[in-house]
Amino acid sequence: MEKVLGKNRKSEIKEIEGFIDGLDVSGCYQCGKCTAGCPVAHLMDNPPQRMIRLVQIGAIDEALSSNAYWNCVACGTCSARCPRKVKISELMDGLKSFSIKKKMTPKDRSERNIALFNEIFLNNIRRHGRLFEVELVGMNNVLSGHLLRDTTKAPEMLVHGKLKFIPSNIAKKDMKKIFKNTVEKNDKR
Amino acid sequence: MLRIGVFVCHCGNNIAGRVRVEDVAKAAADFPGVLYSTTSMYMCSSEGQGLITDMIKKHNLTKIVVASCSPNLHEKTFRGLAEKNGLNYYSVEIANIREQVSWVHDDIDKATEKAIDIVRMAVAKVSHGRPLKKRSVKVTKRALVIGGGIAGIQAALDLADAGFKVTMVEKEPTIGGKMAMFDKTFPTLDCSMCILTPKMVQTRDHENIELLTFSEVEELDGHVGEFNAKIRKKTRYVDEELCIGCGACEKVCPVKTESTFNQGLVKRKAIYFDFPQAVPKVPRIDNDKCIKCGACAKVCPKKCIRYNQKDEIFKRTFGVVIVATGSEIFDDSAYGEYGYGKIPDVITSLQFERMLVAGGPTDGKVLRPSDGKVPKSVVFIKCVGSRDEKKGYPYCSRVCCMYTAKHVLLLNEHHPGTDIYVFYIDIRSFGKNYEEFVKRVQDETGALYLRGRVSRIFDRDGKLHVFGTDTLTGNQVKVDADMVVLANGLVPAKSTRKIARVLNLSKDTHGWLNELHPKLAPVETATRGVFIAGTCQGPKDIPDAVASGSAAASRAMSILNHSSLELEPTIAHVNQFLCSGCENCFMACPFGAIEMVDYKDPNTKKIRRVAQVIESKCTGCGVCSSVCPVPAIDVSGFSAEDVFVEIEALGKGIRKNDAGIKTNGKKK
Repeated sequence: MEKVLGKNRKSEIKEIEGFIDGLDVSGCYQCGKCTAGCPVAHLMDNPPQRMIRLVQIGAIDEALSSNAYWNCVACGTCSARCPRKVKISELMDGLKSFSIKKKMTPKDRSERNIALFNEIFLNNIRRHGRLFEVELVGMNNVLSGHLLRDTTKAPEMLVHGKLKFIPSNIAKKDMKKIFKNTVEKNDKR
Repeated sequence: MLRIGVFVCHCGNNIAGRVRVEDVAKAAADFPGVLYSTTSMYMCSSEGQGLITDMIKKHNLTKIVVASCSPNLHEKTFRGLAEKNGLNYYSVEIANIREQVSWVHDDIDKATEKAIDIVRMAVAKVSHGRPLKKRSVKVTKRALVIGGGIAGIQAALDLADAGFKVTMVEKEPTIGGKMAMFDKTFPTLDCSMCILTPKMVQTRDHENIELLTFSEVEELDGHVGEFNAKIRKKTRYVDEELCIGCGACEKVCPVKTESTFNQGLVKRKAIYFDFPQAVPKVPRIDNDKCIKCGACAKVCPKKCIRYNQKDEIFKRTFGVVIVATGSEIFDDSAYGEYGYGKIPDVITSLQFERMLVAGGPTDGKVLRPSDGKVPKSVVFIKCVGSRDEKKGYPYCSRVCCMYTAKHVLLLNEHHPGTDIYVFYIDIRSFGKNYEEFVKRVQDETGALYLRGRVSRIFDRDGKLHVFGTDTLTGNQVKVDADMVVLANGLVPAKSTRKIARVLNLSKDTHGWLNELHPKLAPVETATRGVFIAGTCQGPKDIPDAVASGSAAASRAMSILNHSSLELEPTIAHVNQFLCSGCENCFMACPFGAIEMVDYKDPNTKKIRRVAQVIESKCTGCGVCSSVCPVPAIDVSGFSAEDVFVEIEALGKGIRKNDAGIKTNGKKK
């Protein structure tokens, strides 16, 4: 079935662009430099350049149902190399936020786990102001079902004093401010 | 007595790498008539030329053979050198042992043998050849510019400013050409008319320019320095001298008919101006549509309507001719799937352009031809007729990408918020500031550029359903549009095809006029003294058309600056005693340079028809000579005898070993 252009195209694109300040996908001329340098493009069903094209023509649903943005590791190579200054890496982030807002759960289990980790990580920071590894790994392993993942690294971290059992709990006020200006603002959009 | 000198060139490694040049020189020394032979690293260098000069003096040489590159390159150099040293200009022959030997053969032995053969042929020819005298012609210091578009205007003004008389012939009632139809020009968005009209007015007012509008060149013969033209000035039924261009006649005319200038978007009268700034500002009566009511004659304050005016014929002589007859847009009806002509809201780019013009048929508003409403979404389709071998032409029309970008920008300016889609194959923005312009258009207008073609347009419920593809995602796409603009490619104007016949100019397979050399002689044609400018040569944008107009003018000046010119004596001549009057040559001559005349046979005393060469028209191409069964017609310098002597010399090489080196047939 052909994609009908024109219906809400501009408003939907604006919605995604609204998640990232200064994101403008119209500049892309499809040279493919982003895909060429992407270290995880082989994991993506749509390579980065095609993701931008889907957003450009307003095929937002197709873009959101892709696994590309969950597999993006946000290394920023694409954005750094883009000759038209398109913020590709940032677009991937935007799609993540957008899909969370739309309450879309990724189809694939591994991608669901990525989404889960992101959520646990953010909540961890929000509560403690600094990363509390024990809680992070514990929650992630329990909720994702990989109970023993990464546990072998615990002894060495203990020896080096990198594993603490009491959270730092610092800068609570500042954390509140930061999250109010970022995550909560995004949720309201 | 023959005193021939043979000079063999190494051309660095170009010749010497594949041919043993010393052996060639040694072999040449034994050819009959050769007094001296030698080699040099670069014969064309001042060292090499000095060598030739010294040897001419030392050995008192009368004929020269230079074994080097193609005669296209250095024949003039060496002939000029010989002339400077007191020899006849045509006593030099070039043996081409580079393009015909060293560059095309690998086997050094065989290549050397072939080079020797070629030198032997050249020696034979030069020893047989008679000295020829150049013809001298006077140069008429007047230029003919055919076509009053921007290229023709530029050429005419350049020539006139340099002090030469110019006659400009334009077939339409006004000069200005296609540029007069445009609204803005990419990428600077200069108003097209605002930059064109000053030049039009200058052309009209220039003391050195004679402007013949609504006129056509019907016949042209002669040669460089003296072209004789027959120009028909078609009747306007209006006295051009008296008319003040008040336009009262146009107002009262009761007839309404299609306006070609406005691409059929509005009606015009039977007596009309194409546009308000027309030059000359004289209306024309369309005789096919005029009902002879006499209303215009009644209101004309100067009484200048002439219903019984007749065409005028002008005969003029010109030193040079510049052809600038231009192009027109591709006829979209070849694309049935786009529905042009059937769906009223599918329009051509030129119609769209006219809509954008502030003083145009819609006062600058983009309106659907079907219901006169402003379209909310517009689709542009590029490469209509271009890059399409099946329905159109294989070439790129060069301007469509840019004018479509301009259209998108202006549409967004005139009607902000319009949903704009552009279907393209590639975006070709090659000129100065062009790529930046396209990016600016995409950024500012939010137009969606879709890489792919449109398959079909359906007209349903007042919407145009445009089915196409976006090859970047691989998706089929559909746009519900209100208007579709086809970006037509360019094709040679009908008048360009016509003028090519009148002037005997060569065309390429698509009808564009051929230049002499695509890189080094871009405005010259095969006929000396005839130049081409603007889009009659191929699709061009305005800057390129203007540049070629100036280039043609400057090349023309290099002829007009002389009071007389020397022409090659290598033209055909008829031995009328032998001629049987079969008319083969008469029919074969591509230049119409042969006429049939009466001739009194000295033996029988009877009068019969024989061929005669019109020297001024002959270019020395030799077609006549090759079709003559007698042969009674020959080209000086390339006569049948000259050629046979060469063939005989080639045969000698096969029979016996001239040089005592490796010979034909023997392996090393």
